[in-house]
Amino acid sequence: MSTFERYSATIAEGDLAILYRGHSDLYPIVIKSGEFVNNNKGYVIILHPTPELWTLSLPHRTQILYQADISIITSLLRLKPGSRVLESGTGSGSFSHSLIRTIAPTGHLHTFEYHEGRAAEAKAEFEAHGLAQFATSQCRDVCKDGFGLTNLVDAAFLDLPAPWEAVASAKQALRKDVATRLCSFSPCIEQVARTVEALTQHGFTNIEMYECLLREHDVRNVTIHQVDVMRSLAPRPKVAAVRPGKGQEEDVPAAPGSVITALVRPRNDARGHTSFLTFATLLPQAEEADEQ
Amino acid sequence: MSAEPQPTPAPAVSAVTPAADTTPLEAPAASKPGIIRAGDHVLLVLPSENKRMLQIKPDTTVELGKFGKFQTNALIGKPYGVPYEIVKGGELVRAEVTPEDALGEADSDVKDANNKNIFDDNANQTLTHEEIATLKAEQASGHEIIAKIISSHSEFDKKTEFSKAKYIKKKRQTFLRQFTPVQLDAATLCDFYFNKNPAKTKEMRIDILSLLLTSANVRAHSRLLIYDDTQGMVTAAVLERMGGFGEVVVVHEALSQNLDIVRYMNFPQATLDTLTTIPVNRAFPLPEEMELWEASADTRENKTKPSFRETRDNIHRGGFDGLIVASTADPHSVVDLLSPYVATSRPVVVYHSALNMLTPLCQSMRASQSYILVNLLTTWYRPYQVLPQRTHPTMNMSGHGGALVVATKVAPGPALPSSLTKQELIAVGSSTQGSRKRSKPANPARGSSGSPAPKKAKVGDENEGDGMEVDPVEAGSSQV
Repeated sequence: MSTFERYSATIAEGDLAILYRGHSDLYPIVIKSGEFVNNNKGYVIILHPTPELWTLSLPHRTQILYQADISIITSLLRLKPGSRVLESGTGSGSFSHSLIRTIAPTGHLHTFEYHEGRAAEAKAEFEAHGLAQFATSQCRDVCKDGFGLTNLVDAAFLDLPAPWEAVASAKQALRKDVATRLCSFSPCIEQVARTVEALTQHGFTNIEMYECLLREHDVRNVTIHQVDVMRSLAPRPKVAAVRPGKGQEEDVPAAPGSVITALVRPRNDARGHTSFLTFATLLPQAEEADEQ
Repeated sequence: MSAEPQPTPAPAVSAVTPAADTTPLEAPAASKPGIIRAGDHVLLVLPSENKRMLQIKPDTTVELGKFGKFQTNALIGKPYGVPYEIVKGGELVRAEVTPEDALGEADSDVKDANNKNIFDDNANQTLTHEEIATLKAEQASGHEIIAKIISSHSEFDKKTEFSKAKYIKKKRQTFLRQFTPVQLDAATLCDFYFNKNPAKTKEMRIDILSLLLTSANVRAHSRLLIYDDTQGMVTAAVLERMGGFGEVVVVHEALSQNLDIVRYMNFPQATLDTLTTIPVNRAFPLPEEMELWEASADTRENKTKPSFRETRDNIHRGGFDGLIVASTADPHSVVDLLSPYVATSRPVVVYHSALNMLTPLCQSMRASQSYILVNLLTTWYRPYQVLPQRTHPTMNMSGHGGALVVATKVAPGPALPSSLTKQELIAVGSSTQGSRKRSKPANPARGSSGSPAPKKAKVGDENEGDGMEVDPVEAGSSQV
């Protein structure tokens, strides 16, 4: 049973695990008897793999999708167990792992990558992670040759330089008996404009576009003095060592009226942009009976 | 290449007959997904962009005010998402999808039109209210009425193309006799309540809800513990993503078992069967009230569900695959209460509408040896209008959507000096589960022994991000 598909309580031989060595230091390893890992931190924590940890630690072959975009795309494409999804391009497989997690055990991912090397690596990764049963990987230039699927998928995800070239084929791949969804992921507004034009021409409706970014916040304790403490001509009292998060009663404020307060503010190293997310709906085709 | 699995079958559900003591959550009869069924809760979107939620009961007339009225039987069996026009007799026909951008229809003869010579005056529109009322009574289609209004507007041709498009769009919102039935799912309901009644769902916006779902690794075959005071919004979203596989135990505020939103999801019975709910005072009675609790511990809130005692025992078995909290009570107190029942290397995700309510929890978790990868998050979520030559962020946007603390639980333990021998490490004590027991450290520097080992080896404290004043190693961690 793949550890990506289900949780297991203990590590088994050959399992993929994520090594935690610090807040921004995650490292995937395969646990094999007889092998050694050198580590100079003095401790290590071995974590069960999840798509989120994989996204943070996987070897990049291309720019990847991060959790904020992955999350909103998953929800707005209405993905869930049993969904059939089309993804192009596979890239480094960041989103692919997340998609499989969401649609398993009854759904299926059809993923396309035009670069031979990357397509092969992604396919090998799915095999190694025990996910091959959920994904059909193809090496294919979908803008030239289409997806080769008809009336099959519930949702399509396009991460391409020229998504408008794949809209017609994506439309063909989507089911026609019920409403289906499409998402296009593009960094540039010009790409978005052309994609929306193509979507409109091909009969897609409910076109919406968003950007979605994470804001991480830092929290730290500081001692705040009243101004009167500064007014004295006498040398300033020493400030006690500040301990973040420890029980407040242990901390000794430096002077009367001084308070240990939490400062909360967004982190300075924030993301400004990942990509624009364009969503659209393809309505089911009209049945004979509706024509009056 | 792997074989494509069988198409997803419709869930096997027997038609549910409501019992005399109405089960709070009953599943409608199974049918094809994406098609409206009798008994479905649906969202009707009107041309004015108003939304109405209702249940489609057979043999009923639905009144939509100025937009008309229709028979529910005409809607049952039709696909979701398609706009329907109301025609004579309350029947429905599939309507042409009105293009969102009316630009194509706004013929502009005047190339360099602008509003320099247009003076705003009610007299510009020569069609009177009486004439419009007559048209409506004659059941002229919405499109016909709008065409008449445009041709009666004396200044219409002077408008710019964009201005004409805006005008037409406004008229459509008033005069079209159409509606679109939208399928209810977690994203639709989250959005609906966020805009219409945010207090109900504790102001949780869809982007934060979706981040909560991935951060908690919600998926089939999980066993999750949830504290939900969002009227079931979180529970509904979780159940949707578990697809009927696995188990969800929901603890909630004692005063009301109100998981309304779960009801509106039209879940099949298989999904509802994975859900167990219990008020917090039944799951965690105060020690001094145990006798009182005992008196009704074997009650079942409904016949098909476990008793309070059975659910309490289930929770105390521990080992849950994740904890999700969205509470009215102080989030720190809820996490303290429920976190012991979560297995190690599993997520803890806590929601609150106000960032500052999560600050103490974030600090505790960062300082604690029981959690790693602790993050305090909000999201920026901005919609754009994309139209030819009119692409820009929308003029209005939501200012906030809530906040999350996300963390991974690990087992706290004594810091073990690396000078211990292998025998000494084994003697420290071993355990494969449960947070209160010490774990056998896996020491990679010595190579693994080949036998399964628990997922934990922690020594010392950790650096948490930049700009943090980190505690120096303190007495009690016994680091050499």
